Amino acid sequence: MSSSQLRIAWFSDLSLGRPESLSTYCSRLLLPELLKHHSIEVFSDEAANVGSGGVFGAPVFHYLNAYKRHAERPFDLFLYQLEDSRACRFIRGHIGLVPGVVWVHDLFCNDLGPEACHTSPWERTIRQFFDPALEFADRSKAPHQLWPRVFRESSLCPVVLCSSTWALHEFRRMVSNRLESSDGMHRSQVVPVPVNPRRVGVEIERSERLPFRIATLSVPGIEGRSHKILPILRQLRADWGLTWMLDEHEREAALALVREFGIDESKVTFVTSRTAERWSEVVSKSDVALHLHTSPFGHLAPFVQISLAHGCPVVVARSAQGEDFPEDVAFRINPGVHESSELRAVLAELMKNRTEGYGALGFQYANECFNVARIADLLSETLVEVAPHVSYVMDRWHAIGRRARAALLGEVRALVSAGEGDVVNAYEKVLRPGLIELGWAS
Amino acid sequence: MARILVLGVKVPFSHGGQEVLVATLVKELVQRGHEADTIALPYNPLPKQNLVTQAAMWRALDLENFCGKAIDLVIATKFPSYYARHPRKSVWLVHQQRSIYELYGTQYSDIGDDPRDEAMRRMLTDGDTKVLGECAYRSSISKNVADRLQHFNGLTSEVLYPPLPLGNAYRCEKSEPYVLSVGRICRIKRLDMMINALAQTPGLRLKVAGVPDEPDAMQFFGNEIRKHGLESRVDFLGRVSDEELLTLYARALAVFYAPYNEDYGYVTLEAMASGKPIITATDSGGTLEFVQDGSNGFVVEPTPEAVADVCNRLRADARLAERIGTQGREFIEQAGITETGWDRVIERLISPLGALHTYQAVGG
Repeated sequence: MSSSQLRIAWFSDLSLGRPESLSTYCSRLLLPELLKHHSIEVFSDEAANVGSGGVFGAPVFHYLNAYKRHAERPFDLFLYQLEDSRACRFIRGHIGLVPGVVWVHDLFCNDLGPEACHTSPWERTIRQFFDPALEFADRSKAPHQLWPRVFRESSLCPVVLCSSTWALHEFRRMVSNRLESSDGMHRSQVVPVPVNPRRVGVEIERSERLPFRIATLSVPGIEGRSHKILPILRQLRADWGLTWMLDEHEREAALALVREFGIDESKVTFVTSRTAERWSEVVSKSDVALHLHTSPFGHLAPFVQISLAHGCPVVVARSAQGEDFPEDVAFRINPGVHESSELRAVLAELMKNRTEGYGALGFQYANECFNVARIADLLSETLVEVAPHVSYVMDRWHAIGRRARAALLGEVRALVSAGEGDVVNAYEKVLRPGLIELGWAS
Repeated sequence: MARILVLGVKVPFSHGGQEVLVATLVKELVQRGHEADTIALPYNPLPKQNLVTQAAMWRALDLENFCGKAIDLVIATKFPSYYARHPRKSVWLVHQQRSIYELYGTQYSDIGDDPRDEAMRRMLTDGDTKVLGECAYRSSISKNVADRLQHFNGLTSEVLYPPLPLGNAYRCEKSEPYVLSVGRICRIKRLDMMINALAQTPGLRLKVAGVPDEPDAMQFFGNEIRKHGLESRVDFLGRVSDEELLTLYARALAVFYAPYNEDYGYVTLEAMASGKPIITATDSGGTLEFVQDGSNGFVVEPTPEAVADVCNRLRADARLAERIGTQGREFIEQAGITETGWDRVIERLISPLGALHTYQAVGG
């Protein structure tokens, strides 16, 4: 862990009263480690509901106080955790006010606020960053972006961290025009979601028991591949049981699928609290974890890592984020015509050779690559390295903010003044004193 | 008694809850012997830069004296009326400029990522905190509005529910096969949800009382109606008189009112007072402070299917409609939001007058 102490504004959803979000999960695991070396204040829109003790060892403030606290005692950087959730809207908004380090857990924003993503003039704003003489966009021509991707959120931050290699590659492929630091470099890298490896006794327990326990985490739609999994399970000869984690609102559709495919309902257990803690419990008692979700819209983290970290053999789809995991630690299934036969073969092998320790390599891999201390180190070192560059961009960004305010007041002046020949200049005589008093004009 | 100005805003050719609230408040103040009047500036949120202009205009007004008459108190209601300056300013907050707060980042906000919009969002957030913070007394029309003020500006406010605008005049008659929708016609009220539900409820009609206040709103809803071939089953009635409104409520099978995150919603309470089942949604905000699903109304998922399901149940079971309506009416009678509720509301709103109030009452 680096010894250079930073003052960090940590923006995160806290998912109070809801199933734990990925941002909250990461905050819970990493903040205690990072706080050993850095001064961190958490900013959330749920701060009012947090006690005086803060969260995960850090003090918590309402996000609207961040500017004020920054003015009183500047932060070295703002770190934003962003995922596809309405609860992250305040973070998306704040990125437009202060650039920083964004840790992207989702590239797609179906819930975050797709409307805002679709109409963001982020490309123009980036050009203005490099060219202060460039005018602001024409208000009458709304920009349009085809997909609700986090282009603006990530391009307006000088440092982009992605939770997965796949996401980083996608981001680099899609976004070339970004804010850059004083040395002209773009900075982006993978910071995986951390896990707490826990494997004691699992191997022994798994060796001989029946039924063979299968865990899956998927939506009851095409991309969740349940229509591939269920027919195979029906054909298995040995005794088996399925634990299916999904959201409560998906349960009815999942049950309909179970019935449609002629599965004995008593063999299926639904778990409708989709949290890391709950999944840890599930995979610690399972003989295989199926992560066959194939949609590029959804992330697999931290659930695959958790399965690996519990020494549970893992099956992933050779698609999107599933491709991040190497062949020797996870069985990779090709979605499509051979999917069923490949999955059937994998399950047969795992049921036959249950003492071979297929989970051992996965456990080692998770322990080496994703354990909390390792990820905290990686994140800490990254933040220390990028802090000067972020500071440079923040300073230059303030100039855009000042120009934007001046341009806005220019528009206001134009709205209330018909022309130079006005007998009474309404802006100067009527509005300007109020604007000055409110601190909006000088 | 005191000389009081109630500050409102006026959107020309539109009529909503805020106008009703301001007019009723002035009437009730006058009935209690105060000299009260309304100051309403036109409100035009387009183009959006106007938000700054209008806030500054309100700030520029001198409301302390008119023609030598000192104004004892101003009561502000809605953005940007609370930007007005007065040493004794009371606010009964209807709502702030929602597009920069809880609607930011949704389809209901026109505040985007342009740095000028970002600048405006910060200016107005800071401005609201300043000018609402200087009020001698702060109240909100619902818990939902009070919670937003606390959440975004760190300011507390007392919840004062507005009593029903037509007092005890609401009545219940035999139901006819129509669902009633009341209010401004705009997307955030989600009339399209009811229109799409209508396609799944054969034989039911929809009557809409209210006028559009959004560009293209009628075109949008008209398309939805044509899409399902519902032209003969939907009636847009425009703005109706008070007596017409009472009759529409009285004869409705149910009342649909499921806006996105509503501030308060007179319609909810008017439906209950009329003994009619109200249908609202789980994300409708202020309405949920009153409606309990299956008890005094229906709270459904915000989908046409869920709305249609309730409508079909009500059509099939007249006793269900009657029971829910009766319980809604009982709720209103117990909740203190009928005519008698005005005493407490006014007592609180004029509380900044304090000793001044007494002095003027004696000395004239």
